[in-house]
Amino acid sequence: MLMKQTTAAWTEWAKVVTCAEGGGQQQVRRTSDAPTQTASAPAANLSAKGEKLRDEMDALIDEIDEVLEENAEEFVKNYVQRGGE
Amino acid sequence: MALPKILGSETEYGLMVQNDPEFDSIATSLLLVNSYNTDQSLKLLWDYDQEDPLVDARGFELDDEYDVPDQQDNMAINKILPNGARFYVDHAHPEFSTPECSNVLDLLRYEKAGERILNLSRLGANQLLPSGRTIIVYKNNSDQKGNSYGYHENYLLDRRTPFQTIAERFMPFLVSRQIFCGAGKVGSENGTEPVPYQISQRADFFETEMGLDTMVKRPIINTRDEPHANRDRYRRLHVIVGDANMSEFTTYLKVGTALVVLQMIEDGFLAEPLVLRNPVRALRDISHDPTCKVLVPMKNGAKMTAIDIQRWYHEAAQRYLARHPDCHPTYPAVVAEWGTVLDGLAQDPMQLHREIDWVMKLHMLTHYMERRGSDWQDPRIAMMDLQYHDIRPEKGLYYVLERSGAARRMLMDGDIIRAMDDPPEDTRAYFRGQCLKKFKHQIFGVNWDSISFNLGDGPIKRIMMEEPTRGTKRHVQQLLDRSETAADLVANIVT
Repeated sequence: MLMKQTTAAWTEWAKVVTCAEGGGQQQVRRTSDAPTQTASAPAANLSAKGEKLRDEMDALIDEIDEVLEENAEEFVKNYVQRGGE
Repeated sequence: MALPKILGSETEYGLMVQNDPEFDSIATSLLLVNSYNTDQSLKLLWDYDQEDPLVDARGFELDDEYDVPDQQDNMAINKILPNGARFYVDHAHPEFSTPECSNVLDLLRYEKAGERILNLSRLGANQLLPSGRTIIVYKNNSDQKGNSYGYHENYLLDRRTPFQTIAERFMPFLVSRQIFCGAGKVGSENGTEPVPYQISQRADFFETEMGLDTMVKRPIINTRDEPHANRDRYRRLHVIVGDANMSEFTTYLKVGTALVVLQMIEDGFLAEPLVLRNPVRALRDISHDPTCKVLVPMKNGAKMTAIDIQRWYHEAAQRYLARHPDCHPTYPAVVAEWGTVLDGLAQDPMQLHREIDWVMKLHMLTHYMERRGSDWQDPRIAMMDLQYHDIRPEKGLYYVLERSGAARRMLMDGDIIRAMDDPPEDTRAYFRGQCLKKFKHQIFGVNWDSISFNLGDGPIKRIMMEEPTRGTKRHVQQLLDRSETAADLVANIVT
């Protein structure tokens, strides 16, 4: 029974990820604009803000690529620890 | 009301040396702890006389060997810092134990100071390596290959509360709290079901409900009974099930909520506790479900989500605050944030992409995959998972997010920098730290609950500090001010 529920939630989760990938901008806009956004804000203004957030996200992804270790596959493979505690 | 809570955390860091095919984790850990603020003239011992790691809270003592290092090794592997912390080699990892703190915000300051201390050690140690080699340090809990290293919280509790009561009433809280304090992990380990991403770094590694072990058959409730304080009055709850967090807000909520729940348990406020039918299974199932919707069975036949379980504790906390307006001044804010986070998780966990580590990481990974047209199999995704925890400010992806304003902060940088050198003022760590600043050449040995001096002639003088709420600035500043030397200090204490 529990196994079944785990599987169900799991499938649902895969959907959430898809949604975040496709609708990420919307999410960023909602949380970031919450304090200032008003009902009468002109649509043009909103779309300008959306664009700005998209640019910010692009800049962030670019920065991640700049600092990300090279040869990711090899790097991760070589990270082996002894158990601790 | 319950006794004031003293707390601390211990972080074991992961390590690697780039371009070193013969990487030796023990040698590198030693190099690291000996590369911070080195004063070669210091000969401080960690005082193992005061240690009892094999005593079990359920009332028995394990008959096993416990190795105590010889003096030379002792000095090499243990560093006691002027902020009251211990920085040392534990097995094959460098470990940073914060000084004793009186509240969640101090704990957060000292834990974040630990990250910077590790980074300075790293910079020092790198200069001693052949060119082209660099030490990298990670504040995470897994190498993604089935090896885990710990992050432990310590909470000082009243000995009068039976251990079994604490264990029963705390268990469902510990199992479900990962929804707001998991550090996030790509994939699964240790023979658990495959998933692309999960909430906790550590959940895959817990195999029993209760026990003394920390390295094998890891228990959700650790029974080590080593209070490092007056044994008749106190116990120290050693919580080993948590993840090490990068996010300030996540650490704040993890530790702040644990304090409130433990206080309620001590005050008999959770008299009819929830009981999970299978805590080990629930810990894993909750971790493997980033929707936070999986139902776990309770002993009474009901099924609850982790959010339901947390709401049960949160509602109790609200009633507790209403009943105890004189509780610690940090509690109301913690309880308010806790409620807001649970609402957010219930609506859509992704709302918490500035607050909660596992969501911040998942948010970053999903956006990256979208922009770069890749998927979970992309090796860069596993790399980002690891590099999120890299403590180098210029390389660590958590710090990249923090700099870009994508991480909610709880501290100012200045608070963290001060905590690298100055002890907390309101616990016994103050006395330890100030003695290290003022009398360092006369100190012979240190432990959490003692400090001993070598005054040149005669036997070693050990000052016992069994009461963690004493030795504060208020208690000892005058004593320190009128003691020019360690001999004066000892004489002034005796008289």
